[in-house]
Amino acid sequence: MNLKKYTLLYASLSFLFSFGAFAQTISGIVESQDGPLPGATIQVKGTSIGTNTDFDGNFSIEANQGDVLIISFVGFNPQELTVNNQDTINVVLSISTELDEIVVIGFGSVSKREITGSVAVLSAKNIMKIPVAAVENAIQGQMPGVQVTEVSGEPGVGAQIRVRGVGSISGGNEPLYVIDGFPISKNVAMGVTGDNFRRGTGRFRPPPPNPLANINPGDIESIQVLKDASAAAIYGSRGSNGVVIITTKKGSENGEPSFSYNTYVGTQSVANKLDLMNAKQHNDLATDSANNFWVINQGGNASDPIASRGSSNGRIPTTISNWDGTDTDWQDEIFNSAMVQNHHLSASGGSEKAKYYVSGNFFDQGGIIEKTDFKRYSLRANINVDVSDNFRFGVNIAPSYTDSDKQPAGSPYFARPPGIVYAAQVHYPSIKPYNDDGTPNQLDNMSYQRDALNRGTLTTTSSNPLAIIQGVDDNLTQNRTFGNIFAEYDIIEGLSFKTYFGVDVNNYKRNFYRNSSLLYRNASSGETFGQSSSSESLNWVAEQTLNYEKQLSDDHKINVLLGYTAQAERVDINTVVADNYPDDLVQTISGGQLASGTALQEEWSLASSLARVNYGFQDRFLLSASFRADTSSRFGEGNKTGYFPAASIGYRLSEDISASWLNDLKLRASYGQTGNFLIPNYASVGLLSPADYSFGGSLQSGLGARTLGNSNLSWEKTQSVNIGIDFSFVNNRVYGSAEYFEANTSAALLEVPLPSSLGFQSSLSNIGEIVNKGFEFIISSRNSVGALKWRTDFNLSTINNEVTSLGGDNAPINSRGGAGIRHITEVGQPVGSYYGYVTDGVYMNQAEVDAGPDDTVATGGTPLPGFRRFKDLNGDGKITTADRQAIGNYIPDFYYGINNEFEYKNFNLSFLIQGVEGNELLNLTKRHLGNFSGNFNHYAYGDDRWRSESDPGSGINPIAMRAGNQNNRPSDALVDDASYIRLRNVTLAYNFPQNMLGNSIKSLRVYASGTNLFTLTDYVGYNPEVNNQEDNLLVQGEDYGSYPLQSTFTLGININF
Amino acid sequence: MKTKNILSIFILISFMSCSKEFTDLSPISERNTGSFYTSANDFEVALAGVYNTLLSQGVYNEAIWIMNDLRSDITFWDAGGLAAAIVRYDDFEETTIDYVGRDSWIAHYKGIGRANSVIGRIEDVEMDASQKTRIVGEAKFLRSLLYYNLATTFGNVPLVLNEATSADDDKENVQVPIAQIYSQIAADLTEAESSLPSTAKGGRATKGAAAALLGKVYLTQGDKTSAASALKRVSGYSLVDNYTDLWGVENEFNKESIFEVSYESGYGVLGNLYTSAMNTELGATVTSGSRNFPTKSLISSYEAGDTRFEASIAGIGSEVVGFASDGAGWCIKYGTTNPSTDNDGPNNWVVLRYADVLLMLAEALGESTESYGYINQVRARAGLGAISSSTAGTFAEKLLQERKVELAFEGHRWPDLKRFGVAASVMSSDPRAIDIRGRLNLAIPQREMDINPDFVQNPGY
Repeated sequence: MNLKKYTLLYASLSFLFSFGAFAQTISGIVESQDGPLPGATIQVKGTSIGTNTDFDGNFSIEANQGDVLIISFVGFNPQELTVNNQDTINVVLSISTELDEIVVIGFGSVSKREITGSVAVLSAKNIMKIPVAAVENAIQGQMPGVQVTEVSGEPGVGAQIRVRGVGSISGGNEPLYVIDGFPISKNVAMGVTGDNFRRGTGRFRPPPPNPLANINPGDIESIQVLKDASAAAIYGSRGSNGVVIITTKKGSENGEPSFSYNTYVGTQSVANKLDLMNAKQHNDLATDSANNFWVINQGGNASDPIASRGSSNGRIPTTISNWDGTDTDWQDEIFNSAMVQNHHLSASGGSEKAKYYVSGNFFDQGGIIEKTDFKRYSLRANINVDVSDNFRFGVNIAPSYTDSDKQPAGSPYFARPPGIVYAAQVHYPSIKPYNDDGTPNQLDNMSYQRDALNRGTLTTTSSNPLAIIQGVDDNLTQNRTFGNIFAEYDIIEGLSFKTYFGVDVNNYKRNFYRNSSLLYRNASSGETFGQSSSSESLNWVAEQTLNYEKQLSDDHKINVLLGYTAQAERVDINTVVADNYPDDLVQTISGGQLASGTALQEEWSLASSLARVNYGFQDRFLLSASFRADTSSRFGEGNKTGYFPAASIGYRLSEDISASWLNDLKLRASYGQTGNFLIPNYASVGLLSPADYSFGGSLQSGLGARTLGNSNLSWEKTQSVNIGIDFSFVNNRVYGSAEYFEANTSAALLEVPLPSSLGFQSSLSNIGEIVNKGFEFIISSRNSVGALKWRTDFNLSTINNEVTSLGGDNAPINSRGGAGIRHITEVGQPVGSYYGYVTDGVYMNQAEVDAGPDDTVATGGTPLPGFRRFKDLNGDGKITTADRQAIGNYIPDFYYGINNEFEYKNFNLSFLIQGVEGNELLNLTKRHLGNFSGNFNHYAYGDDRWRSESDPGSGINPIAMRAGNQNNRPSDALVDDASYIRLRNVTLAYNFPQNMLGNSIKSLRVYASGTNLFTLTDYVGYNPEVNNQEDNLLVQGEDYGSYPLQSTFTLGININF
Repeated sequence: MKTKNILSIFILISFMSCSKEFTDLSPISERNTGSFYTSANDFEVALAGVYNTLLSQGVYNEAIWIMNDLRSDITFWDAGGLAAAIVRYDDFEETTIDYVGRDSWIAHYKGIGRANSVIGRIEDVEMDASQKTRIVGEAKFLRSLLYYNLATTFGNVPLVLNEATSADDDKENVQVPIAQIYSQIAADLTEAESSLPSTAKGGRATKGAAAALLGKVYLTQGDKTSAASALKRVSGYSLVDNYTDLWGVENEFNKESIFEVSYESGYGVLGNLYTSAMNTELGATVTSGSRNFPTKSLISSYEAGDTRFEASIAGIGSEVVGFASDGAGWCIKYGTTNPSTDNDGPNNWVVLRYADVLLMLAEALGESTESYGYINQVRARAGLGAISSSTAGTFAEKLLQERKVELAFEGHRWPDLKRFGVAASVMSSDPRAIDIRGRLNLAIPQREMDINPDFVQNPGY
């Protein structure tokens, strides 16, 4: 055959298959309501033929009759036009709104226009903007009602998510995560990490590993958060804390394979440093502190030489008395800059029958403290197949592996092992960090601060932070495979049956070794210790649902869902501990003497039935009602099954109001009941614990009841009301919503004290009551839509949390945190409020002391000038324990985020500002860094202290005195305002124009991005969001050492080809 | 067809989980009350759990000697800091929230609760009848012992005889008159005495233990006839030849021992703290420090030549006469060697021994030749001469003096003083001249008062 024949054949075929397949040139203008749209894309559907409009919105393209042109522009609804025999096509694109977005609501999806409950949405384009380590970080500041708190900057450690406040005192407050239909919730009181590494108490456990850390944020299509009961009730006993629905990307229907490579490389450094004293300032403080102690407490003279002082608290070490000029910035010693890099390669595409999305990701975040790196390797394949017109199935599978090196960074200096950051903070600047041979200085450190006669001084011992890093090796790996398959069959038109089966296999392994080089505080030899722990969990879910959707007539639309689901999880945890390693050559358990070991298994199950009806009348009235029944192994024998009804209504006023400026206006209201099943797996059962007895040397195993059990134990119940308004004005250029909610939690779990004569002191019972209420507001505006596009999104949420009942006589719960009782949970206050005395500056002079109340709490007797002045709250003329009250809490008054995005030609600039207002922290670091005792380094504000009646300083800061002061008494002096406003992210991107890229590259975007660039706060610690005991709501908000956040600068490239 | 097959497999998998068993899950790694208590062995294990409570700090490990000896005229302690709470008991300055009383109440009822579980749950379990009878007998003996301690310490306490299965099971948490406690004990011990064996290995309760405790309870109630009858049934025991041979790990379960609490080192949780706590020499090397020193009143109570002195107290020297100040001595009944680990001593606590029975028998019979005979048996073993009605002092004084030195540091003194009706006078005439402020009974712990507002606090608080 020759070329002619080919041409002929082609021409005939073309003729046969496409009418009028004569190429013609079509030109026109693409406009918005505001004028021409430069840069809009015109593409012939199903081909790679395309062009862009010029600066005046003009275009011209070659197309055949019958071809379909897709005209699109970011921020506008795309239009499809079939080419007839015209040669001019003028198009007016309308601004797209999120009302048209499809929102996944659990067992289904609806358009945002039809939503009647409270659902917050974040789509892929907003997730992609910021280079983030994990999913939660992408949400921060972007969703009203969803507070994301970065409690630690440690790589691999998750942020804390709280949806609409906290409703549980003894159970969990984490939301339910639903990842591609798979519900994942946390196991309470399981100790999955199972480690406390001889910290003395379990109170200083490292933060738990992030359950979402193994999900590549780049794979995520959208995140929805179901906030109110009507939306979340379909998840029944797991809905109270909100439901975070994460949907990953799917292949597109009709496209050629599309490859995309997203990568960024960045450098991180500590976001902020504490303002601590330098050597000169600290030497002065320590000297002052020793002298004041010696004079006031011991009756000596300030001029007495150190050698003659008979009390260590009156002596200063030679490093200070004979200061050699050393001025170490310990923070600089431990913080480094570190790399972060991310590589994400994906391919997606498909035919009408099959669609696929496959991707691979490597993420590597170095730690700003040595040996705290986090790496993630993940793969994903999402495949959907249409077998026939009425049968579809799909598979998602996502194996992942994470590997993190950990260090005891966020513990107090005295924990075991000691906290690195804290040890660096307390270390005197007058001490050299290293010996001459380059090893960490452990013999001249805080532990060996002696006077010239080699006697102890006012200094408190602490390990060298650099020695801690060198002395601890801790590695945590997680191996998780997450997968599901589903099949869907259309029985008749509108009625489909879906079956879904998912598994989550999640294994952890952790190896910890403390070598002999680390001297714990003043220890003269190292204490080797090894721990190896591993856990394996298998979580599966099976769901059967029937869905019926029908437009009954023009006026009536109905959707009915019925379902049955079953889920179960089993967790195995093993731990072995060894000590007395003869050397550091073998660091696994086998190298030491086996000291102890445990193996623990737990399981839970949940079987549920569910139903939901959505009804719409003329697009005007919307009604949704749902019901779920949950039967769980966690609930007591008498309360196995819980029922969770909910209903919501919506009225689209805009259907009845015709005004040109009004595009959409919807009123909605909902009411429903949800539960919180984050209670321990076996709390309803009476447990027995070993109670052996030796009958004259012959050991008989014994058992005795440890817990009473509670056969009526049940989920915590939340009844919530939500009222909202959704609006869209001025050609959809301003849109958003406002809502108010009130959620009443009852049957909150509390350890109720029992008469001891029952043989038990307490029993877990459902008796507490808590109310959360607040306003949420989100507004987006397209400030400018022409060549320069500018959009702004703003959201703000308020939260008001109050305990309304603690059962019985409402006796308040005083809770012991990291440093004694400093928290109270009482009726009328937020859960876990700080508790203590109220201060009113310091006594400026003796006359003020004389006029003040007696202090019966001080062991040293009456206060002195320069001492803190505690308020006599009950006015009985003396300071007693009755003068304590709630003095702040961790729960903010409101939090907000502002996102601005500018687009001009091919440039895109966005910045996200985010803030929290009205939250306080219990800053326990002030017990050491703010104690005015000189035994540690000190916050720099300590310079401005009371020195004498004639030099009283700011009136806030007390006298420096090593002992006998009342500086660490639980009081508001240690409670700090932690409100902040933060420039969370700035990103400048450039999209290369198509004509520069050639044929093989579809798009190319390069960007530079900065994260956590700037934070405005009065808080003196590192992180105004720290929460050392995240899992214990009763003592939330403690700052007792933390891994600071990072500032990150990244350069990134997104290529599609 | 294929489609349908696949679907049916899915449906099958899902509905397999539909059954009730799916959501009825029991703990895997911890035993629980739902599945336990089904076999004879389970009850032997549960019974060991009852014995186990005797080891606790709230019972014989600490509370008993604080409440019965430290509080009395025979021992004392002065210290500050964390130990101040214990010292307050010595000085009758304790508060209703101090831990010794609170924890003692908690620990005793914990043991009672465990005994109630055994007694209540064994009924319906099929097992060897004689084994069942013995287990119930032991449990009832232990419950009686715990109730005896509670009654002599706190007075009117709740009489709980049934296992609590829910937080609402608090019907029995009401104070009952002490007489009701004693009559329950008497009934239980009578049954236990008939069902327990005459001898048993390793410190299990026996017929003799039940009878001896029953005698003590009758004496406490003032029923001397029943007491004498019960105490005379205590047979098969005799005094060891040397008083010294009563003490030390090697002399445990001797022929004089009727019931002792069996502590064991090396397990970490089965050892005692009093071995190192009472012996100053040992106490100096352990973190708990030493406490419970003999008072001048006790030291001067030993007659010259009493071999019990050197077997009981060290650090004084052989000359008792002329000793002028408190504090220069310590108790050595519970061992002279240090346990390898703090608070893990191996020495047993002797609850009942035959010398006590002989002296109780004398008390039950009243002044008579026969009763002097019993007292003199005890004196003779101590190397002392006989006493008689012509010896100076009342019979009660002579008897109490004998009990004071014979049973010093063994947790008998305060109940003895109360039983003889001389607690207040003895304490005020002691060299330390202590005013007991009407506190014959210890305060009902504040925690229990708060939970049940109907509780009536004891006098003096």
